Amino acid sequence: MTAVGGKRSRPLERQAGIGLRHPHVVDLIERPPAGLAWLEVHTENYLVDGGPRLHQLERIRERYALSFHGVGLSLGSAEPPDPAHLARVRQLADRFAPELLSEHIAWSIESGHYLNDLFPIPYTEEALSLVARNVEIAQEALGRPLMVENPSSYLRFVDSTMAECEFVAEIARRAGCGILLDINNIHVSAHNHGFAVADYLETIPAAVIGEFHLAGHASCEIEGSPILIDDHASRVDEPVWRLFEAALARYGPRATLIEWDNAIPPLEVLLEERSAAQRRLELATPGPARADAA
Amino acid sequence: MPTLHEVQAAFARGVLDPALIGGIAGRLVGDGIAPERRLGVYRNNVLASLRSVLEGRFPATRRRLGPERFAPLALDFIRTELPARPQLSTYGAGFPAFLERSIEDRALPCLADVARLEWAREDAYHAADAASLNPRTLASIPAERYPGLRFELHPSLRLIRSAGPVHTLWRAALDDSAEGSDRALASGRAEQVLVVRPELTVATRPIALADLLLVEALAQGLPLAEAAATAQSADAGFDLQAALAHHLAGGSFTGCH
Repeated sequence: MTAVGGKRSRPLERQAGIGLRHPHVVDLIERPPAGLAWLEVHTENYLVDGGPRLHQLERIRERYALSFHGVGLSLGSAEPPDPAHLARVRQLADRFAPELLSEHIAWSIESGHYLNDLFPIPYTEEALSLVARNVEIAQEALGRPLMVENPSSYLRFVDSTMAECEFVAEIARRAGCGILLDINNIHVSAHNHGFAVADYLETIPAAVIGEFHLAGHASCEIEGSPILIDDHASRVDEPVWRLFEAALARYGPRATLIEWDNAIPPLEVLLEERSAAQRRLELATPGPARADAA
Repeated sequence: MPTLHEVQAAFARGVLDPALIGGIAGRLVGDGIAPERRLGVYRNNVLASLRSVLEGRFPATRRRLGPERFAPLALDFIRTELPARPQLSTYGAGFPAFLERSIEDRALPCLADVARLEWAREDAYHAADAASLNPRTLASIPAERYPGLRFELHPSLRLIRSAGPVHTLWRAALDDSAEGSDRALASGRAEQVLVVRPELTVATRPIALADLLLVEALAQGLPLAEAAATAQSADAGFDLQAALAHHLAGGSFTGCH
């Protein structure tokens, strides 16, 4: 795939945005907060024929840049992505022209059933070639570059033959796609599976990274073992801010999202979190990204 | 080593049903936590998220059943009918029919019909947009052409028929009014409901059976005179003019020719 080779544009690279959540829509339309340049939506929520959701997104579009973050392509499935679903996403993307477009390295569809979660993949050669093929199919059908997000997970497969970060980096290399680096996911998975976060940052090249995600997680105990759950229901945790700072030092600034999907707080709290990310973005030095991309 | 396809099929079975975990447990790393418990985190995500979709979509049905009875029914439904596509706005269409099959409770008449009404409202909310027929357009058509006029219905328009007081029961459940439900049931009347979203707000109003027959006939493409005759067969005193005025004001039509 050459759709996104060589020189990459990096929209919104010094802008922190927030996820658009229903309780905040009217405020964001009527009283746009100072400095907030972009919003991320879950693409599938807007795959409807008409009605208030699309009407509101039109009004949002007049004031903000947009990121479409998909949860339904199931790029990690052994089966190729559904052409009908791709066509619907393309139609929506053509209509709203989002500056950023992303999906997940995960799967959620099996035998035509959608399970509404992001399941992990065994990191094998077979999975690598199938997922890279799926990403290529998706980029081709969508007609625009796609970023794929590193997963958070609560289990591993005995059949894996490579580290998660190697798998993620190799998907980007083979499919020619970008990576949406979810900093919280690195922290959660590193904790749950005992790998070093530093390996992640060393393995994923700067050139492919187009966006960062930051979110809160929860800690719980199963059979006496602590496990982190990626629940997007709280403020960004301190170790995740530290890892974000390390990522900025390594990669330079990128569009950064505060994700908060459950137990949604007042808009002011989200904006405080956004400001904390924005301050760090403004301090970041450009990093080696452009040299890598040459 | 199983193929990715085999692993995913076994994973999906084990996620939905703990009894079927044997097919996938051997492929999962334990590492201090049993594979079953690890898979359980995903099971909880899948079931809780879909259940919350159904709770949000069928609030009156849930009130009537009570949350403790709604929850296991929702889980049974999820296990028999998973979303067929990754668009949750389309999920739940089969829930009313599932309730009809699963619940035989004389204390809860019209339960599935109330669920149908709730689904119709959800469906109308996401239906295609269309400008409603301007009453002046109709007024400009010579009266002698009226009998042959055919109407295009708004894409969001939905009709609900019930053998019971479906609209009153729905309203009473949302208002949490047990008295309202009791009175409606005691009346023993049948209600029909029209749901339409001409602009951004979903309107839900009870309509007479004759009116419902009129709209159904127009939806089939019958000319006004024939549709009116159908309505009058149910109610000889049916006031066509008043019904049309109501539909025009409520945005039921998008055009006529």
